[in-house]
Amino acid sequence: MRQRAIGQQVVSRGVGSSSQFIGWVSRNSAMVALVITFISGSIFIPTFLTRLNLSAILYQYSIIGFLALGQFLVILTAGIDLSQGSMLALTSIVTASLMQNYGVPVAVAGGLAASTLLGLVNGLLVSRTKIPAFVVTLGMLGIARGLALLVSDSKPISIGIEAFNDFGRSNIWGVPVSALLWLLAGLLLTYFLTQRRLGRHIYAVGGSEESARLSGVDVRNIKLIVYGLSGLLTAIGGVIWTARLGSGSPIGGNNYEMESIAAVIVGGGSLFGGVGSISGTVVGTLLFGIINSILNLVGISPYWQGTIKGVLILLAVALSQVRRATGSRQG
Amino acid sequence: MENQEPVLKLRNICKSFSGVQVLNNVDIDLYQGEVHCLVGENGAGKSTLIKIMSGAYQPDRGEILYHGNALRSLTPRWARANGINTIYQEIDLIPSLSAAENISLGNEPLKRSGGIDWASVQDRASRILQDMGTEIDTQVPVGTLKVAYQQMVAIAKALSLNSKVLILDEPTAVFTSSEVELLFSIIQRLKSQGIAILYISHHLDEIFKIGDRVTVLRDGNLIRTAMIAEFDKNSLIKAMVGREIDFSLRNGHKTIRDEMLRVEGLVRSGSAEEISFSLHGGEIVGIAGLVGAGRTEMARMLVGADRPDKGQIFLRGNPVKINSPTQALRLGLGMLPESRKEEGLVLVRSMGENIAYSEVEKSASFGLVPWKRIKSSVQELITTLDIRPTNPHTQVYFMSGGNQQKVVLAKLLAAKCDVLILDEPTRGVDVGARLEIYKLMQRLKEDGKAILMISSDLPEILTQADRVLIMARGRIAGELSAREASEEKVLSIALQLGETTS
Repeated sequence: MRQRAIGQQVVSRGVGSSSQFIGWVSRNSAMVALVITFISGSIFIPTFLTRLNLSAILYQYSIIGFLALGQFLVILTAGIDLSQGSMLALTSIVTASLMQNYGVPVAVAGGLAASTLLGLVNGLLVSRTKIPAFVVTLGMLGIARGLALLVSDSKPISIGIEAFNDFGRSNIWGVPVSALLWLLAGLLLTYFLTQRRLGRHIYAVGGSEESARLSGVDVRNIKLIVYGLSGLLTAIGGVIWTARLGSGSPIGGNNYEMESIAAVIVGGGSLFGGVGSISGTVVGTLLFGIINSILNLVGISPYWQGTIKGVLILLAVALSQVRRATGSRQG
Repeated sequence: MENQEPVLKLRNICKSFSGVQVLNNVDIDLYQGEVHCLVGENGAGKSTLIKIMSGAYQPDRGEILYHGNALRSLTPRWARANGINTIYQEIDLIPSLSAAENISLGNEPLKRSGGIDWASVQDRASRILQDMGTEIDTQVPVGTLKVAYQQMVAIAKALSLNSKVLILDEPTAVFTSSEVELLFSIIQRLKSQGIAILYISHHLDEIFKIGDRVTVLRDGNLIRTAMIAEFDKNSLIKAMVGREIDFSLRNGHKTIRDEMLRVEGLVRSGSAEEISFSLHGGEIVGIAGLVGAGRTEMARMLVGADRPDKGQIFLRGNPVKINSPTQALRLGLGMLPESRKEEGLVLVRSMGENIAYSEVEKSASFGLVPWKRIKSSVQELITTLDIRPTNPHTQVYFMSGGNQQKVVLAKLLAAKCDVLILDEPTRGVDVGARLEIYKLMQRLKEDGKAILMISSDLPEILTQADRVLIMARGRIAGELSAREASEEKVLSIALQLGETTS
């Protein structure tokens, strides 16, 4: 990531010569890939560029987008959150089961609290013990899914309050409200990460934990906060998901963490931490949404879809390695 | 200078690690506006002393006075907040953040809205770097800057915290001569601004150039603190070395056998320049040199852990190209690495498995591992090398340092290595085990093995090696026979090259 995710004025570089253009492309490869897939989808697939299809993409991927925002914060500190999909299911179950007796506000608050709390537990364990994030959140993956199945008796819980369900399907001028909320969250987080001390310290922790500590950065609480935020953002995605479905499901959100991790990596994040940007993550999420849609419209079997997406992730990571190698040679 | 109060004063500092006395009643004081140099051989206690000054270690005994006030305990955080800053060789910056942001990290100026005031961050960085008389792009990620400039940024960061004491630990280790000049002009400025500077370097010419006073440590004892003018190069070297030599068990005669290893013109940019030498069966060649002289880097090339850019290696007269340590083992060339715990051993597995590791590797190509044969050869090695405990099922983790070292040696012998590269073979082993390792080396030598021993412990090299090659700045700076070699000679070769190249 040679582009300034660094919170400072981007030094404007004219895209004059061809080598500068190539440099720009390699620095923004996810964006370029997004534009190319979007254009080719529009040209070759008649049903792609329709309001129905585009809003379907946004409905589904704005939810994964919330998870990806949280995942990005965690990955920025060189961590990982494997429990997102299960936490989404737990939020959905908690929200749905509180809905009938306590009303919408309490149900939503309960759903948000559930995953945020588990996220904070993740954060406590990662920052206060020596257990690796991979193991902590893998454990939480099992715990959250188990709780969701336990509370719901492994059955979906339907929601009878139409006002809530409508919210999940509402749109403004054809743009889903969930997508607007997602973009709003992205903007807030961008401000937070580029302009606030806490946000910059998240970058610092991922860049070099020991140096950050010696500079007076409160590493432990930074970690606590990012896992908590990952839980909260997952919970927001979970509430919207529940509303759109009109019911809580204990088996929902399966493998969503894989998609959110992939979106972060494709968008320029690094599992070693310290680099990447919210805008990159948003682009990465949309790219996966469009690719997913194209694969569906062309009628590729779901089994192949997983394989193709996996190959794409590997390609993106390989590309970013090349980018890093050439980038450091320039420096 | 002498009649003012020292900024930082350490008195009667003692420190030991697991029974080994590293510092013994050491005094040192730093005055405002002086460059105080700290010199001593590897292991003299310099690093321990600066770690105590920066709060990283607590002394066992002794007093630390800062501006005349005794400190009860000094922590790294307190030291930084109160103006004692250490610039280590491994630079404490966040590579992915810009220089400007690194300088302000943890202490960012805020706008009234609570957001970071990026303009002030930028101004602060430019102002400090300007005061230092250096120009650095403060906007690109620090990791893309050359190491020398990263060092400057680290100094700038220290200055932004209102430094009173600046400790520089071997700052010029990887500098070019013009970068050294730049650093020196910065140091002169800081000095005139009244900052007390502690300067640690192996390069004596630098010390005579920049230093006001010098403190000499040897084996954890304070030898002398004096104005630099009271020393010349020879008297300073003499003060640094000159301890008694024991362990002299080398038997005078040696029967030189065939040439086992020859290296011609080995070059690797950044670590090796035109290295050539040869090694015969039945001899021990010592590689001396200061930390950072490129000894380990050379060894890594010999066993194929790193690729040379140029040059040729011959084994038993035949040119070979070694691509990996595994291949080196197959060719009979084995290395006992400097950090045996990280590179040499699988600590959680049993001693037997560790010894047999490379043999399993070798025979695995037949598909089946001949456990029975391996078992007996392992048992034999345990007996010959006198490894304790003798049970091959003992987990290596629980064995003593000396015995772990023997296990690595056994592993190399099991792989039928006859060219052995030993990198710091006695580091971290106690005196008794040290003697045993020496005996073992002498016996291997009598068996006709060729041994290349890298060591920072000069007495060890002088007592064990038949020939000494001295490395400095990535090249072989000199060769001495066992008879000619003395600590003074070796050290002056290792040190004086710094003068001719920089």
